[in-house]
Amino acid sequence: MATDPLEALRQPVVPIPPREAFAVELRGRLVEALGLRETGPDRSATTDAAASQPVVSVYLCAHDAAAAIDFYRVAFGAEETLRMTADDGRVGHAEVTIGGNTVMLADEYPELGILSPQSLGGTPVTLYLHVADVDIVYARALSAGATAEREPADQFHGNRNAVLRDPSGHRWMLSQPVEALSAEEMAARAPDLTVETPAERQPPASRPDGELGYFTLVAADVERAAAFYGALFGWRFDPPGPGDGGHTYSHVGNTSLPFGFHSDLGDHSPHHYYRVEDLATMVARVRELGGEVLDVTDYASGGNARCRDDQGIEFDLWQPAPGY
Amino acid sequence: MSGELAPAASDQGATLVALYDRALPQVYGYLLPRARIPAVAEDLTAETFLAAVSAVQKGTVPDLTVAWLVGVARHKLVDHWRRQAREERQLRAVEETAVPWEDPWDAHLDAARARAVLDTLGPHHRGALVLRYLDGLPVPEVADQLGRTVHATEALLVRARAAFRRVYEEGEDGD
Repeated sequence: MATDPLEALRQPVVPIPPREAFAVELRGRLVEALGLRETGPDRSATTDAAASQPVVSVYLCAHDAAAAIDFYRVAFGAEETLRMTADDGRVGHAEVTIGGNTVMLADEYPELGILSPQSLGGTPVTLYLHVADVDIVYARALSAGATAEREPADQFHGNRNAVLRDPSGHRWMLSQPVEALSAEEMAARAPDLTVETPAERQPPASRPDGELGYFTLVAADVERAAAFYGALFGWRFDPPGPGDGGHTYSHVGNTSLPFGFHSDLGDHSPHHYYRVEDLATMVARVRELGGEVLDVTDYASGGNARCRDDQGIEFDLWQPAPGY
Repeated sequence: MSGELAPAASDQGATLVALYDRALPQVYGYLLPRARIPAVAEDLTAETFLAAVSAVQKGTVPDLTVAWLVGVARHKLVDHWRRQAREERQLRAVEETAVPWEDPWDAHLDAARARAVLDTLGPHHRGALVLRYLDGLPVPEVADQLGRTVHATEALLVRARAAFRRVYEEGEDGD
């Protein structure tokens, strides 16, 4: 057979990696179609990171996302963890962590209506950044190219704040706690404002008796428990203080059911506080049913009756004070 | 995980995911130079892997390897050309039917220009030439891929080569 010049077209398969965004998306479709959970070692890190992320995260659009990442690194100590660059050179998606939280960002995609504050001529959103020292971060941000909007100053609510615009036009409020103030204290400092918490604004709907309202756990060292569970679950412990019996006590207020840790209650069982509408009636009912009422105490949080049921199991009745 | 999935199938599903990182550049690397358009290559890559998923779930994959996936990609490429040919056929009034007489052609092809010429050909010609020459498949296998008889495939290849040569030589005159 005569030579066939077309044989020169032979093209063995040379691996070509596709766009990363495509590769990631297709992998996701594959895993979902197979009904599998991702187990690949290269993805477990991001999956773990996703699990520890807050439910709401910020996704910014920047006129120049690469420059924005540089700014966040210099000004706010951001660490870049992911960048997906499209064929046209635009950053389609990038992730940085600032103080342990992921902030996502991308270049402008005008064809999708994704525009930066620069193109929109402003932003309705303020990003609130908790920092250890407002003045230092503020100065660093300005020297990295941010625009000053409000110099650092102590505020009536007990924080020291400053406001700046980053080079992309995003508005950041830097905040550092100076004093812990109650709503009443804030109100006293800002007479033209009504300061209240939702609990004060709207009395809770009446709840049936017997709903668990509070509980306490016992730890030999409350501060260690705060460090351990704070790291494990993000529980926020109030600064440990003296409890009613001379022991150390710390309240955890950021769970849907509030609770507290005691250093010592004489026993190591958790205490359960069941909400009741009318403590006196329920105390009488406990006695009628063969239970025992050990003591009745009035706390700031409401009336409390320590009881023992007819099998010897201890529990507390709690008539919450208004606002609890 | 779906309870209907046989254990063997679910094992193969895990294998497919484990294979993904290695197989993806191979599948895409097969498709991109042949489909030429990145968006089309991506679509066909996705079709390939999702077809692999359903084959795995039906338990019809004898040997789940990168080579098998590239084979699936080739099927998807042929399907793509077939769709394209169907669309273009509606525009073209007359299908070539006669088999032209083929002059012996002794030339040394410039690979880059040859690829550009391939792009200008109709999908049925391009498809036949890619399978025969870029993939290096023997004619009976090309026939198998295209779902044609060997005789019809030989005729198609003759027409495709003639069309290729016409455009290639036009380009030579023009340069």
